[in-house]
Amino acid sequence: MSTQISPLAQLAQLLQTDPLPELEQPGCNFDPENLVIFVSDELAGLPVDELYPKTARHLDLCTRCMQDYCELSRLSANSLYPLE
Amino acid sequence: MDCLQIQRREEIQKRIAGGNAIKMTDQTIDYNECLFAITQYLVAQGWTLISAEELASQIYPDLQARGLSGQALKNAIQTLIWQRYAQVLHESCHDPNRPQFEQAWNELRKWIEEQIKFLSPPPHEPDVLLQETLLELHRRLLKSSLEKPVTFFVYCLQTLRTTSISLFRRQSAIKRGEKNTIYLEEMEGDHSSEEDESWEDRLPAPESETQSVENELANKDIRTRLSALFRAHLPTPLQVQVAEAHFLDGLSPVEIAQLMGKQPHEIRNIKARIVKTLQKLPEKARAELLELISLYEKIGD
Repeated sequence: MSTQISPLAQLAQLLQTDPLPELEQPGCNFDPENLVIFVSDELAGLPVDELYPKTARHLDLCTRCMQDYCELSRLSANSLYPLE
Repeated sequence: MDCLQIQRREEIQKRIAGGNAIKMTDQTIDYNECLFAITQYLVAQGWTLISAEELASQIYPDLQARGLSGQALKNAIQTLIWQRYAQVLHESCHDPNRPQFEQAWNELRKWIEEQIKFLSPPPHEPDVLLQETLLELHRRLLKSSLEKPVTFFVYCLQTLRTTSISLFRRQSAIKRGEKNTIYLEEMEGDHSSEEDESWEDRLPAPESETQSVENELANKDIRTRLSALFRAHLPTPLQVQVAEAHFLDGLSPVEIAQLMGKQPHEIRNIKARIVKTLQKLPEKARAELLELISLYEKIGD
């Protein structure tokens, strides 16, 4: 498991990282199965920012993956929590 | 906890009292109520591979131990059910020698058919989408089992989405060949939530830590300056609130979502926008922000 750093320290790291150029994002090498695990565990209430810091960080930077994540989360929440 | 923290916590508790706070009780959950909730859920999903009684016998001890009630209990029950059922369905779909193999695939087919209705935008040919999704899942599961079977439902939904996008691109390519141009951007709207400006500040107080009085005052000063920077550069009050809750108070997107009555992905999306905005700050403002962060972190050590 990765060393946990505070959200503010993570922000400092991100501020010192160049934003992913828009043209590179469609081809980013992020494994979609990582997103499945991230979304599933997040729905189950697990601390995904601690468990999968690389995935969390990637979502902060990659617009396309963030869109995929939002849509998958929305679909999953609708499908798996039908009882209001 | 010092006076300031006690006062802040009391203020927050007053605000929460009028809202939908989750109440934790010591009451034992009634088994029959648990069974009823499980039955409701299975019927809603159309799942029959495992009985409600069997699920209840697996889930009930866990629920008892948590001592939840209200919406938190409802969410916990649903989570435990779908996680358990995902494993059952995955096992049945993965192994053709299982007696429930055909039943499992029929059930999965019906379930995915229902989920197609939630896709945005709606697919042009839902029947084709369903077939192709099932084919892809079949191929995948015959090759190997999932690394984490508990994620099976989310995996199915991901497959549904990617198949839908592939189909759309295929249809677009065909139509372009007929000189009707349809762009992929039509598929990709911004489905993120609208910024809600009516959120009430219900942040819990930061966890107590041992600090000297000087450190605490310095910390408070830097926090005020960081907060002012967020207010100066982030475009909406909601982004400011999320930035303060996450970066200054250390709350996770899930915790912020619970406080704000939103979904975690909505908060994470807002957080990503905050990061992008702050990354594009002028050099001077970015340097100031980095310096404040460095000081804040140092005092916190």
